Amino acid sequence: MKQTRRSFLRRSAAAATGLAAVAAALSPLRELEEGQMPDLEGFLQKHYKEMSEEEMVRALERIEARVEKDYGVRAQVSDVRAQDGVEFVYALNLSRCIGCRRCVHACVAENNQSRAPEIQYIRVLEMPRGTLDLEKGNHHYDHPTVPDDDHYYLPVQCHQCANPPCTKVCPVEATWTEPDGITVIDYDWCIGCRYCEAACPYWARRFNFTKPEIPKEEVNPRMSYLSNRPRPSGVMEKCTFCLHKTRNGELPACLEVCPVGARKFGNVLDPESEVRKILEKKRVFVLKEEANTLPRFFYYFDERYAAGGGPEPGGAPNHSLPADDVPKGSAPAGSGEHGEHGEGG
Amino acid sequence: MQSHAPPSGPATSTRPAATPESTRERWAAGAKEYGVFLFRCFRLSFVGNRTYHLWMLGLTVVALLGLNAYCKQFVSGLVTTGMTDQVSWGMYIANFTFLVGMAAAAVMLVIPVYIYKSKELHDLVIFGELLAVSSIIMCLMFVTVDLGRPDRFHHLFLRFNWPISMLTWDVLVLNGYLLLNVHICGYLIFCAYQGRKPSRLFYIPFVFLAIFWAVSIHTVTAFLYSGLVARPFWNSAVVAPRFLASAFAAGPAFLILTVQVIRRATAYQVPKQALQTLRNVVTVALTIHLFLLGSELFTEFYTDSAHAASAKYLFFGLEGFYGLVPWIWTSIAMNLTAITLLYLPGRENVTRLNVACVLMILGIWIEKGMGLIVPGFVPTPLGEIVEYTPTLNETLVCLGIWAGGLLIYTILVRVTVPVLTGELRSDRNGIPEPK
Amino acid sequence: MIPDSRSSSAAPGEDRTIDVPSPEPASSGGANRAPDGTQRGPGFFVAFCLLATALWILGTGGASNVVPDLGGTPSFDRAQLTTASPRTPLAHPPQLFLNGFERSCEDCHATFEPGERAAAARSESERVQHVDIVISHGRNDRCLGCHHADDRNSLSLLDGTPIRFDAAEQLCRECHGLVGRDWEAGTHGRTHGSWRTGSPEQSRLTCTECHDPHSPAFPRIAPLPGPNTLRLPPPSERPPHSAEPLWPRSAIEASRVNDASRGPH
Repeated sequence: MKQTRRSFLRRSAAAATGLAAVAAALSPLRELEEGQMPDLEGFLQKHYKEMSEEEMVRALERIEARVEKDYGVRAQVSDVRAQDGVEFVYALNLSRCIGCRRCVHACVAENNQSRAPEIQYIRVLEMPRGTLDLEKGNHHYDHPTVPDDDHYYLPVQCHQCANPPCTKVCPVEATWTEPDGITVIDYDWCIGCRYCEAACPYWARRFNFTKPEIPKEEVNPRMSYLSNRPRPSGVMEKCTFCLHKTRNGELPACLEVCPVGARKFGNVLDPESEVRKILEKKRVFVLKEEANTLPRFFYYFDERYAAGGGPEPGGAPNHSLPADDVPKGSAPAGSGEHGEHGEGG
Repeated sequence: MQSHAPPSGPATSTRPAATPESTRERWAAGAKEYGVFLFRCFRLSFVGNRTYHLWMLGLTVVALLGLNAYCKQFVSGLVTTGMTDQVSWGMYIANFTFLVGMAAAAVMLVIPVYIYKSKELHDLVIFGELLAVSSIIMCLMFVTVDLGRPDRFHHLFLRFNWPISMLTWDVLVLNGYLLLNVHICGYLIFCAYQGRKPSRLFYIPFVFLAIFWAVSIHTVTAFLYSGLVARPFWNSAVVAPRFLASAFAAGPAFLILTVQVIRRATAYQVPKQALQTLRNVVTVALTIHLFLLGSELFTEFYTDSAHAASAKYLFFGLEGFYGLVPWIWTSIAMNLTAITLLYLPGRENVTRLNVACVLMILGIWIEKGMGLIVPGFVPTPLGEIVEYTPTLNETLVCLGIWAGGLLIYTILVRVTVPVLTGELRSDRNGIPEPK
Repeated sequence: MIPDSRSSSAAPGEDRTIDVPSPEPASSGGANRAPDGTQRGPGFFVAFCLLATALWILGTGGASNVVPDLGGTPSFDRAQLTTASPRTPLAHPPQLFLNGFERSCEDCHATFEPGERAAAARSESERVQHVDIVISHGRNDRCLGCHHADDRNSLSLLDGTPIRFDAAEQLCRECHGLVGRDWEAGTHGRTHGSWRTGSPEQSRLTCTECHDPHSPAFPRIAPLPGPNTLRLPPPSERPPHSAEPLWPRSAIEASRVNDASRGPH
């Protein structure tokens, strides 16, 4: 009898302490914030492409409520769709870019990216002259002023490929290319496996390693489902060419802020568009063409304009300047001082 | 230790060995018997000597620490790991890759047994397949803890990007392999428990399927990496054969160690010949593995293209970053020592074999983790170099999963051995209980 | 592995009534039983260990304890993210606020005699008015290179045709033909408002909305903060980026030899 009682006691002690240990191990789950786990409706929310109009309206309302709760901001969340006859293309003039990183931070402000930990869609590489090898680029240049004489600058962001390696690896089709050429992510569908991040040859995708932190006063209240609404923790995000702006005819934030006009954006299907003219007339290239990703993001150079204010081909040929006392052959002081940027265009 | 009388179920008194009257009743009786079997196994898994208890207690404690670490990660996000946007896969995926190899290795025992009718390995097959089952379970756990949104796991069922995404292939082959092995082991063990001869129809086709399947799980896992144009370090056709060769070295090496533990700790007698056969398997696999590794390195370094940056970082360091250099050379040294030990005269020495196996397992583990996954991310496609160091929390999660997996493997072996030795038998058909 | 408790147990009969050898979960200490059948330790030892584990786990703190310093973007003046055009050029006719009065150029320049007017166009060193203007426009370093000699409220083409201040691009492209054509095609310069060609919202900045005509090169500016992503070491610990020479190529050869002699570490 004593035997049984003791054995029962030992069994109970082991079981009780075992349960206690399991409970202790699970205890961090108490810290789950309300709303961190999806509610039933959120859990049952369908894939973006499968949602009916009413379901989308409800989803947008949920997002607005979530944003108000998390950031104290009344946001307007819309679902803006691609237009027919539009294929967006970006072109970036490497002869112009001065590496000021205005685009990087304008993008962050527009797209409600996390400030801590920092998430940025655009990386500006400072490249030594004489190479296009990205591994020679410096991501962390910190001169008092730019451009630096010995370098040129190469901003990289999502190239919105026509043959994207990132979308094909996604196991749940949470990322796809829209008819207007923009590759998007359904942040409510992504499971966070980061396979697309490994697959992108341009390192254009970012992961929310924790809940993004955005100061309340810096939240951009104009949001859309597929682009700049605040992302939940544990999902991927990326550049969407600011589709909430561009699908309404506006220009992306990185372009609007560029002080030197190095960025060009438009509809490549329109023969009169600026990007189309660039593709037809300029020396254009894409990064890592051997990867056959068919980017919609092109880089180009200007022709080397005649430096020093001298007449150019196409300008008025050999007019002498009206001031009659210009010394002949005076060296143009300071002209072309930093390559293309110094040219008095 | 061997004098333990096998359990006799309450069934003896409650349910006489009746002749079933209909199919339905036969099924019901079978289900009940299976339930009793599972219950006995459950009870049995708590029974053991002091070493067994200490081992299980240790694993439980580590597993609980891992569970706790994972709960913290679940709440705070993957920020608790050392991973970054630059190195977006780390220890979790590295361990996953290694364990897929371990799981695939069970096939190395199945092939000689069922194709070449090798007698001495026959009894080992079951332990190999149990290893496969536990390894796959660990794999699935490692993938799950790597997910940013495990709560959305069901999205896999709703929009499955098959056959485009290699990850969906991996989900299919891993789970399929798990089911296959659970079926084969479960069927064979249950038949042994019932004391009847297994029907060939119910397992031989599955065994042959499992052979192909085992190759496929590691091939598909290799394709996860080798299909990425963004990562030149992985973008090589040799990755899949390398994976298979290293798996067929590490897996049987692990079994060699397991078999000796079983031999010492239980009544189950594994033929000595089996060890020698396994040693041959391991030797050949490791040789092929090192040859393939050499081919890869030659191509990288002799070509000396920009694509060799990751390999340079791994073996020699890049621009002042040397984080993986000591690891990879340790791994190479371990593998070379192991192969030397295996080829030297007097290789029948079991201690030496064990040393070689331990070195080989560690060497291959380092090579697939630190040596394959991490350098694929360094430098990034934009040339940035950010090093990866696992955090304590991440390491605890890994250790927890390993402990959980070993716990499962121990329990599976612990209940299988008495079944195979006849100590744990069904009493349904009136088979006399061996004393 | 299978305990010998059954054979050595003092009460085998009791245990035989159930189907599994030992009813004691996680605590069957068969090997630990004293010969007299009393049981010691392991059951309570396991319990003790599990309890210790529970306390240990609780002692490690909550989920926030394992979150590292998130770093984040350093603050900067957000006014720098302006989308306004870099300059506001003069309107036509140019209005200046001088001595408390709104004046046009001609209000003053009309008072000069024709001979003095020419003098006003002399080189920088001779300039007595507008000395605050720095001309850094290459060879085009005379006022009358662009300003009209007889009508200061206008600019002048090369052939002397007066043009309005807000049509300066006609003047600029007389010298900068390629850029002018690029600008016209939209491949040079900044476009505001919309990407839709011909949309009323779309506007293209003119030359002087970006460039100071007296000194057209863009001034250098301070870059905004560089990346400070998760787990990036502080700037002081980021090794200097490789300054390997790219040319002359012979120098690369030399640096390789040096590297090799230094060894990997």
